Amino acid sequence: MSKVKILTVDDDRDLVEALRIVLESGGYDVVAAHDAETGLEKVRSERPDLVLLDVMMPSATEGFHFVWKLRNLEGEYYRAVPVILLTAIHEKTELRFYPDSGDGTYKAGEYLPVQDFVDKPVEPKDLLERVERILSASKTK
Amino acid sequence: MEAPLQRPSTLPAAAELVERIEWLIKLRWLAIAGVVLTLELVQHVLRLPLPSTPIWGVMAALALYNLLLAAVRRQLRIARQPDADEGPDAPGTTPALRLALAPVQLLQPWLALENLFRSLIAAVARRKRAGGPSWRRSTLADLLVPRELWGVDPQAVVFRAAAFASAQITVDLIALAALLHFSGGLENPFIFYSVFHVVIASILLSRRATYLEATLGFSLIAAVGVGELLGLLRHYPVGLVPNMAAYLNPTFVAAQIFVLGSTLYLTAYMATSISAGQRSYEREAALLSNDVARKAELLEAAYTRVSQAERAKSQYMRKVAHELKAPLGAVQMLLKVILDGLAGDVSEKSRELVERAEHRTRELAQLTQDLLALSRAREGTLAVEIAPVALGELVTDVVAQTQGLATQAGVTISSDIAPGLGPVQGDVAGLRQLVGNLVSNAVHYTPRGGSVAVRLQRTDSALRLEVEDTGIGIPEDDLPRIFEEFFRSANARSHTSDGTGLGLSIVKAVAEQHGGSVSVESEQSKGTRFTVDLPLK
Repeated sequence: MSKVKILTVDDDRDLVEALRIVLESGGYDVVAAHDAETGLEKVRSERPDLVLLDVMMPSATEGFHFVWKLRNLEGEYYRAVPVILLTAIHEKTELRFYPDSGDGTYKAGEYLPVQDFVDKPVEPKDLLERVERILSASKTK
Repeated sequence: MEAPLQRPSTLPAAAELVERIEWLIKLRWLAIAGVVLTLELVQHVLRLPLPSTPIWGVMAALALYNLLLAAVRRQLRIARQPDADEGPDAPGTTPALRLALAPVQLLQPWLALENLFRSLIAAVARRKRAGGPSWRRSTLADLLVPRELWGVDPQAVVFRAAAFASAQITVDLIALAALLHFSGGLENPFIFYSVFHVVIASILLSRRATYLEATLGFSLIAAVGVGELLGLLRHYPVGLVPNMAAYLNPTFVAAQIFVLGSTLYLTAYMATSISAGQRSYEREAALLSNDVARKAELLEAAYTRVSQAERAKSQYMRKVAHELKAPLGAVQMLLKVILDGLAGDVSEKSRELVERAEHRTRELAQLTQDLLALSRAREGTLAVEIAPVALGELVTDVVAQTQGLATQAGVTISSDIAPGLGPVQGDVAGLRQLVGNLVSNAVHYTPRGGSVAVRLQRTDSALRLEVEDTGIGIPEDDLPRIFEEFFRSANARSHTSDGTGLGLSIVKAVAEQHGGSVSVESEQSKGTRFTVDLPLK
């Protein structure tokens, strides 16, 4: 069985490098793209098991557009592949695209079809835990 | 003379002038009624012989003129016209108004005479001193408009009103002279009623124009007397004077003319002096009011500029802080990778140094976050989304999140939230930060064994959040400064080096962004209580 493949889409090469080290330490294969367009190409060619996506690269909404384009591609895979958004979203209220649950917490996926958010700065252990949880959830489906 | 104001915002002088002219029109109706009543009295009670037909004719003409004045008086209230032609024929002049103003042209010969006289003097003066100031022809506007009103209102408006007044007084004087002629000439004691016209002229017109009107009245009445004396005009006897032929007595005629002339000119002198003083005062008031209006405009413009600059500063701060976030995030992540040993083994010393670097980077990240929050709150409601916020739940949530920190610090934290509090309209992220900053501050600055109490209740018109601790307190001298950016009191700094000095600035900015306020009471070594009021809208 081949290793689980994760695509990171982020224009910050240093961050991608750090993410690669963290993810590889967790036993994952890492493919990197530095802009949204290349990211979409890599999704098609590499068919990763999970996408780690930066919200702003470089404009504030490019990550969102990436998600919508990805989900609109023809094929069950593109609708199902889990996406984790890397974001400092709580800092940018104008990008509060996800609904407030009323108790002050936000729920992923209710509006934007992604599986999770990870706040920057990324805590390596936290990231690995989340990736593992989401991958196992998507496998059971 | 002072330079005219560039943009008068009011027309106080002209408005006053127009008001008085309207009063004059009303007064004329009274005068006409008075003459008619007197005529009836004289004819039917005193049974004195009077030629009623010509007197009725004069009164009818005067009544017609007054009707015309009443009809065109509205045109005096013309709007501000900075570029209006300075003449009675300014745009918007109707034939009726021109007709009503026509008698003012009777002053033209006087003006011509005056100009001739002045040009002679100027010619002599020029010969004496070459290169002197050139002489300017006097115009009707110069003649009529009171000097004190120059430069207060647009000249066209004031001039039109003055011309209107002058025309009326001229017509009134002609009517008076005609009435006197048909009722005994100089034998009629009503000759002294011409004083009223001079007084009215002094109120409405310039000093020179008043003297001119006095001269006109004097000349007309004197002409009637002299004409009757010389037999050029028919005498209509009234029988008021015992000596029926007084009009033929040169001494009587000369005495009447002398007394009339001196009365009119003395009246003109006294009345214009009083009027000039009064008008100077009014002019000051008008200039002052224009000045105040202009300064208010300037102030408002300055305030707008300051607000814009303030907003621009906030936006700039936000952009800079935002730009700092991405590289900081990358640095933090890289350092964490090293610390987690994911990049290979590190020596104990290296590890300690990287830990320090990571700690300082976290401080820097906190600073940029605080700067972002502060600038967002300072930009008012532009940068945030306003929605109903259940503050009670938010406070409960923040307290729960701070519980771990409190336990670690050995501080007990309790919350008391009144039930049934409605939501406030606000920015949930900002409000969360406000509550979070106050609660975590309280925990931070309370020594082990102390306590923090968080209360949320409703007052008449606001939700009141109180965060009270038994902490180190704030020195009294520092209290006024604690909401300043980057200010940290000395005891806070010695208690912990953590903290950007922006937390309370954010609290204040967010409270004010929501139309609320924050206040503080503190006693050193005893504790501190922050109170935030957020209005319910």
